[in-house]
Amino acid sequence: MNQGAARVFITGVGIISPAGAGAAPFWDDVCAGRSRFVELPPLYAGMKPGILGGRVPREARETALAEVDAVTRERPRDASLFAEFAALEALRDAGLVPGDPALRTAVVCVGSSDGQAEALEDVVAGRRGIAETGGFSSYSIAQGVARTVGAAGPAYLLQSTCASANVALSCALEMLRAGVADTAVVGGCDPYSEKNIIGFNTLQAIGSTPCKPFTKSRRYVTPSEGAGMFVLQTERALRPDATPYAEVLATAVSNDASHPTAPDREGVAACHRRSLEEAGLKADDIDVIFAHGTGSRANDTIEGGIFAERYPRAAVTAIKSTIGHLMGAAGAAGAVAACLSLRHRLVPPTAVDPDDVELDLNLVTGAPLALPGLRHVQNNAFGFGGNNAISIFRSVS
Amino acid sequence: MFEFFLGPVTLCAPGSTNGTDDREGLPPDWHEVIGTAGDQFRDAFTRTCLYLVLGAADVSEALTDGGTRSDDTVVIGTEYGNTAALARLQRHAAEKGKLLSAQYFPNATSSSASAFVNLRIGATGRNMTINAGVLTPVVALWQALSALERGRSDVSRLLVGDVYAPEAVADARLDTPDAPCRDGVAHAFLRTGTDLTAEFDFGAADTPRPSPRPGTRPGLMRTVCKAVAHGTDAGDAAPVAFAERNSAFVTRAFLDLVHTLEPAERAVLECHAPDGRHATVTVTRRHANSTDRESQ
Repeated sequence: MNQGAARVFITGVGIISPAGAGAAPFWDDVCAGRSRFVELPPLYAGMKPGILGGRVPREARETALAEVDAVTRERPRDASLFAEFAALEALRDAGLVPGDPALRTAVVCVGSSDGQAEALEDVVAGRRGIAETGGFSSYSIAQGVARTVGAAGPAYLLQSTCASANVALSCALEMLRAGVADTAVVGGCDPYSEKNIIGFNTLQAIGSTPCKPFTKSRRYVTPSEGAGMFVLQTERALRPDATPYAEVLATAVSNDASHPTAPDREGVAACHRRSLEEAGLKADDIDVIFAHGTGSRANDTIEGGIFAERYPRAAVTAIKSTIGHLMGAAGAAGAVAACLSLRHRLVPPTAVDPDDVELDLNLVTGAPLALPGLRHVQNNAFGFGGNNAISIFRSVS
Repeated sequence: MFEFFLGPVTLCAPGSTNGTDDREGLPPDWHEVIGTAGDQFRDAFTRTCLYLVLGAADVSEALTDGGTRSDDTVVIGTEYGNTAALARLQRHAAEKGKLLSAQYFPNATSSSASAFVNLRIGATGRNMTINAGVLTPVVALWQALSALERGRSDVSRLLVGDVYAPEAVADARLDTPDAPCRDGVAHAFLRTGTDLTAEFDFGAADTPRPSPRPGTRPGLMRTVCKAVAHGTDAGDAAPVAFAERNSAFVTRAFLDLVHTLEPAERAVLECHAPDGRHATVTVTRRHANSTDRESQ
């Protein structure tokens, strides 16, 4: 399989999540196993009160509003607000500024499942007119990020349900390796979506107890919102003083072609095999896995079974227990966490009772796990429609 | 540069659905090809995509209904995709309350069409739904061909276009008020091969754009033309401009032109967005002509 010649690195990360605005509060919360879930208001007659979700706090939203440009501030849509804030943080982290020459031809690729959800939902509900919302074309998210960072190269949005951010990473990686550009601003974002909450409610997949990945008592997904963005650069674009978080070895994308909502064990296992093949690694080479770990019966049974069978050496963690399920941005949150793990040589815990863990997993619980020799980290993201996407990162030190 | 073989190119443009189930001008074999199961949940965009891929299934290694699986890649380029199903779920929740069926949701994600295409043809390769605005045909084709080039799949299914819900028409008019929104989706069957080469150029938004060609409106410009040698526009094929919003028609016209190429001839698709971004793909025929073309 032709992987292309260029080595590609992550040189900057940014995130906004229920933990707050920025990578620092995010890392603090995931390492402390601290969640900030709130009760979501019932959206229709079929939805009970008390269902838990993760929301970006008001202060974090105000922080983001203060940083984005006037165009976004004038008519803020959450997906754009989140993505542009996270992109700006990632730029700073990479030592770049908006309009930097390195960004001129940069690729911008954003994954999102629900896009400009509140704009469409307000129009459908008759709460606002289309012009007042600013529009709901998902392309406007990528366009806004490109405008914000000063990137004039190809900009596009990827939709692959909850695997969207990892698919976006894969598509941008292909473009950098093919020589389309040397820099890319990539990630995922998803806002709170009424349609999404209603949909999950009809499937009885959300509820009043928080997400408890890989436990015997797991029952519900905890929907959440936010964005994670990162700067990708080829080796030749790296500045002399650059200290990349990671090298991106692979991002495998596949489909179960099995069921509209239920994951398929063979399909998910095949994506694991593809990612290892693309990375040129074996399962035993993987030190840490940031699991998709939604807390649903079906996902965790299949994913956990694969870990137990094929990755007995890897430490596994599921940060949705802390920040919830960021939907199309879930893979981006995992990628940011993976980068911070590689930087700090620390694996954040899954916020569950260790005695409740169901499978024979090396699941990190309690305190963060120090791994001084940490080298390879895997980041999983799966979604409805049989979407699977797995990234593998390697330490650069 | 990518190498590939271009199989059948088809277009389904059954007339405006206006986001409803009232369709005019549907192909006569519509229900025979896609069936009627789940029609109360799936929207016109998903059904149109299914019609196109299932209609072309005889040339795929994948069989319908997941009977045999393949590593086919599925790339859908669309601006508004399953908007109709998303809006319907929200409306029906308000109307039906507790009686809302759980079957709406799988059909009402932003990538539901892709999911059901993969499911029906058993495609387990890469799949994605791409929105690059005016540049969507070029970016989607790039990703479809990249999957072949990198050896990830032997076949890529490319679907480009929109079936507009009323909300989508209103949204499209925000930035292109004069561009018509005509329903249609184009489908192309791309395979590994050496018959054709494709070269892409992605222009930066801050580089000068060429003057709009006659018949095109400023801000949104897509053209297709045929050339016989590098740097020379074809004598008998002046660039054909497409000013409508939907990418399906220019995609079909471009790929149909590719099918007519003689060795060394080139077909060029240029897309210029209102924000200045532009992209060009140039396809050149290397070997004997392929006449594998059909229309629906």
